[in-house]
Amino acid sequence: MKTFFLYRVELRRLALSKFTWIVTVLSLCGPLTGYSFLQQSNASVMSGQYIANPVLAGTVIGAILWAVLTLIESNRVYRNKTDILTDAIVSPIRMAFVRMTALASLSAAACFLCVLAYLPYTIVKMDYIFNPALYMMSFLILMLPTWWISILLAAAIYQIVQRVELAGLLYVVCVYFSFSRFANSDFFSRWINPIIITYSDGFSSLYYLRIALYTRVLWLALAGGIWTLSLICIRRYQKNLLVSFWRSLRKVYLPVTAAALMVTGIMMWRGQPFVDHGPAEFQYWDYYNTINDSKISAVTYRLTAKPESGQLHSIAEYTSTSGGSGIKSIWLNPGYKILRIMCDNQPVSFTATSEFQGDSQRTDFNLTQSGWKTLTIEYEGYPTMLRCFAPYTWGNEVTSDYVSLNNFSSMPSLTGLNFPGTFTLELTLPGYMTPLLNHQFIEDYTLNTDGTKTWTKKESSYIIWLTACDYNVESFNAAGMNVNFVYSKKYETIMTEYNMQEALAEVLSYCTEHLGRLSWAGGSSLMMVQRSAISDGGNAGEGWVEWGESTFTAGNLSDPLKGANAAEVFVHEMVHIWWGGLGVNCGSEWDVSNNDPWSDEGLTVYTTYRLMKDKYGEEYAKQYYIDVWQAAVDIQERGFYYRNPEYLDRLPEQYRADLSTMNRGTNLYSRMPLMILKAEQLVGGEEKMDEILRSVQSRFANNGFDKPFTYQDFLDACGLQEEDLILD
Amino acid sequence: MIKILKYEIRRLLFNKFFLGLLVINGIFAWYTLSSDTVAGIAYTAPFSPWSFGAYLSSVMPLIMITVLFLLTYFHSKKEKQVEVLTSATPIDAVRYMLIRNTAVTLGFLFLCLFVVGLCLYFYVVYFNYRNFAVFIIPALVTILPCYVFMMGAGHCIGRIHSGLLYFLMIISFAVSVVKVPDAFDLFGGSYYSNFPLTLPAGADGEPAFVLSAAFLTARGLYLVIGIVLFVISVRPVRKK
Amino acid sequence: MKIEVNEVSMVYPSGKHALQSISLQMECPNLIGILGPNGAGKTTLMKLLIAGLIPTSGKILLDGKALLSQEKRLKSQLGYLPQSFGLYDELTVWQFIDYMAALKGIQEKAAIDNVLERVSMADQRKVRLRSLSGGQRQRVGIAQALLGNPRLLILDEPTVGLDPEERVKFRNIFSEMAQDKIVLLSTHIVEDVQSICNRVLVLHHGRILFDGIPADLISRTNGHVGIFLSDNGDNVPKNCQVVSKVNTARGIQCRIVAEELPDYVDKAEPTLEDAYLFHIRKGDGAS
Repeated sequence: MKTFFLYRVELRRLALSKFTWIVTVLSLCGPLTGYSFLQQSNASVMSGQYIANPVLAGTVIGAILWAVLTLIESNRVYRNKTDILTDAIVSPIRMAFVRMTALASLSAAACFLCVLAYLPYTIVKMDYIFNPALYMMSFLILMLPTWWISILLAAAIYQIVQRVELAGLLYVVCVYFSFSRFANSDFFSRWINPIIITYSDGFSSLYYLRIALYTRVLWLALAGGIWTLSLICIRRYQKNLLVSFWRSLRKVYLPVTAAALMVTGIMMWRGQPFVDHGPAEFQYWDYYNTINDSKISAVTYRLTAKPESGQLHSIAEYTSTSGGSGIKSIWLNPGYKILRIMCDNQPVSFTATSEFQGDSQRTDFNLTQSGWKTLTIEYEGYPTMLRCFAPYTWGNEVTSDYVSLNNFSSMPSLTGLNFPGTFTLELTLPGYMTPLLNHQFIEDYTLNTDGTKTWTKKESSYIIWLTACDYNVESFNAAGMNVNFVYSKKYETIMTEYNMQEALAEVLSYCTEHLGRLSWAGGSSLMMVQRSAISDGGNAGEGWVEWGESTFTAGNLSDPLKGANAAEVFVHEMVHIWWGGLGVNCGSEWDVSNNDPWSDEGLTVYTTYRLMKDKYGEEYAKQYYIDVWQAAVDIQERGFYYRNPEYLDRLPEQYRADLSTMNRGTNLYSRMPLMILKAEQLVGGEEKMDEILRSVQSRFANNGFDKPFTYQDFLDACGLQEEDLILD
Repeated sequence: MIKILKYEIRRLLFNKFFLGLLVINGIFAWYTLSSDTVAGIAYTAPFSPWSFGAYLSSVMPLIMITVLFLLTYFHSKKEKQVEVLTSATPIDAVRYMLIRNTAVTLGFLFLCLFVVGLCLYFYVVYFNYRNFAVFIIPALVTILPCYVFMMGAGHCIGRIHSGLLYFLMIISFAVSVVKVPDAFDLFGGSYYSNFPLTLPAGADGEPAFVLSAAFLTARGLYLVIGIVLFVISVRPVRKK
Repeated sequence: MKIEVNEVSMVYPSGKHALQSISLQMECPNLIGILGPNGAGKTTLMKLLIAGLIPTSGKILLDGKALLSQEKRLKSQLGYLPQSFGLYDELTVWQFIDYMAALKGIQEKAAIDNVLERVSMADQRKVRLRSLSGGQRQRVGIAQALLGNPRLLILDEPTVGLDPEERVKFRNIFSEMAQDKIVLLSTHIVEDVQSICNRVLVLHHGRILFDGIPADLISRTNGHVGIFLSDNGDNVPKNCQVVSKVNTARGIQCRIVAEELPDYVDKAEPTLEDAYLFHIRKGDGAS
């Protein structure tokens, strides 16, 4: 009761203090900076521009302001020399607790005021895109806990060092660390500026919010533990830190609570379920090369999405006429926990290893008896993102608005087993979702009693790309192909307003005319799929192309003269499907130290330039493509290490790696297109180049990595030597 | 006078707080060297005067914050209590203030030498570069106006209220991140990053190190304003 | 050395009249005690005398010349101990006195050792100031005031925080110094004034109520101090101020001062404290 009474007194005192009001008003203004210069999230989606960025900016600014207030208030009794009086009435430890709770209460009130203050503007600007749940969650998950963490840390630091300027300095160091490159890509180190790469307008924004919620709880535990520990450090009886600490240890509940909270935080950090615990460098897959001795006659995967928890539950069933014995390995995304392995209804023990390849971790199990008939692997969990690519995802999401599973992120690969050419997929999803499996619709489904649907398909590719959403589908014919344009229903208004169907048809016609018909694109059909901003950018493959939703925002689509940027990304990605099947990449895309400019990007950029030249004229194309490439190459060639590569060799490896990465984009997206442009001029013009590229398409299409289209092949097709294409 | 200076140095610089600030400055300086300077500023060599100037511009905000922390000693409530005694001595108030500021200046110079030394060490170890004479001009042009301006502003503001010095620290950090016309960047970072891009490359591929008239004028202005503010601030106050 | 204060008034920007047209003269040797309640103007007077304030009106002369034009000369002969002051806690006792000596232009180390001896702080010369008790800090303050054997010593509440033995010791030091110097001593402890001061100033509401020798102040109070017995100590006559109440076997013995004593009150021999209270009360009535 006494503590509650003190809390009320302290709350009232703080609420009437002018410092508190100054901090509250400035905290309310903090989100304003997020609309313009303090943008930490993708602003090309409306949810990012009007929710994520203001909230993130307000989070950081408010956290610092409330920490300043905490330091001022913590120092107040010592500054006014009233500590002698107050310590005689109330224990300083209890007073510190009361002060902390009062500050937390007031900061919560300030956060609530922020919610109300920015609500009308956000609703007006976002219109039908506005999601009230996302709006509220952003403040409650990102802003408020971070303010509390900041208050706890500031109070803790002060209570330990007992000097306000030193505490302020140490606090600034903590803030700086969160912004430094050490914490740049680490979700869990960024205590004051949580990572929200992007929100999504048309799909789900829960991906990063879930991680943010986890990190906020983690840091609340850590900061709470540190703060509780600092209570023991509060100076008492005119003694120094060590003596006061020793005496206060007698309050056993304090160190116990501190330890419990800190251990919780540390364990949450170590055991975090979002990023894999594999090596920092990407490990290529090579388990394909294992000898497989057990012939499998049938494979069935039963995947059930659980959007509420964000998890996937799966049962993989393998049927054999006579399975072999021995050690077998499962390669599975480490986010999944293998629940059981059954062989002919008998449990099989298994052991997880520490070996990682790609996004998979190896688990071994031993089949002691040969001649088995069925092998069942049951697993559940949530696919983690690769540590070497964090905080950027591979697009895996399981939410109530969107399901996206890429590559091996949903199904295991097994070594030692010889798989049949097809497998059966049974996919259970919420009833309102339409799935796309490898960018194709699934026709067969059954309606379950709980409202979910189970979709069934026989599939030949063991590398699956699965997305499911409440899609809108526009079907049309263009360039002799049946085109399905698939996008989130929330974008229907924009797509209609900007006549996207017509724009897409235009691009298809151009590329077919100049590069030839897509011989490998399923013959006569093409899927064009919008994907979430969380796995933004573009991608293309056999018979399909994907674009991130940033391409389709009103801001981008309303300005076609923006040049070779977001508004024309959809063209670029669509052009990729003409070049993606030629195996041009040859692994260079993954090897960031490889500065070889040859890849399908150069060909795609060049083709996009040609289309824009055709559409908007030579002057436009020169301004937004050729001049841009040349400027990038000029800048690259001005670079010190480009002119003096011998200095690069003298640097430590980490510096070399960072500097090499800086050149890669220019090589792929600017230097190579210029070289192809030069080739065009040398071979005799655009028509001749089109002829060459058409012949390349017909000769190399669908070769994939077996017989890739190399730079030498390109030179041979043009009748040129390597020296001919060296840029002046 | 030497004795007073000795005691002021002991009080301001020989303590854990300054040592901690020195360490923090060192860590930040090395971080700047290994992330920004090593890449070379504006496509010049990492050891070009441009890169060196940009490096100093990056570390100056933190050094200035350190200097402002030292100034808080002069304007704190505690100092005012001691001033009751020291103001009753025959020492000339202006001379006394100058002696004390000499201690701050020595601390500042020590800090500068430390971060410059780190940079020179970096150049020697990773690039085997030892022609340090070319760094004198960028060092003077970057450091001197900053310091004089901040000292003057710090003393003026500190006389109003010591708490405002912490506000000035925030301002000094904000100035380093907010975009201003290149020539008028107090710390010079924008100038060193952008001006070389407008210059033609020399025979060795490096643009010559030139200081534009606008930049020099701005540096001169900061210097003059700083001197004026400093002169105003060292006048003794007598209550009427 | 001669200091003249001519019709000096001091009005602060807030409007408070700290001093109202006061005049006095001081010359060597003299040990002047200043008595007065809080807010009487004692500290203001002292600050004016050390050139820490500029008077609103009037003049202060040092040896016939304006004080403000001889500030450096004044401070080279001044030892000042304010009522509240700070010390550089990170320095030791010896270092702080050395620092103050440097400010005063005193080079000899012996001077530092000498004052530390006088204030009995020689043993704690290497102790950091932050570790000192309140009384020890006061002694350090006195030490720095005594540095350089100043001709003008202004001490504001110098014996606060000192134990009785030390108070006597320091009183003797001040008395010794007053043999050829001007010592101005402001205090609430009337006993200090009575013991050593040859001249007393009573200040109240910015005016000088009395300026003269203590004996004169006491003699003016003759017939205005009395004692009577009371059952409960409450029946104090009107217009009287109680100086003390002492429980005795016969009842509560009350000592009072008044302009006119009632008949039942026995007259008593006035002390300096009685005289001070009587004059302050009279001053209150006048203002």
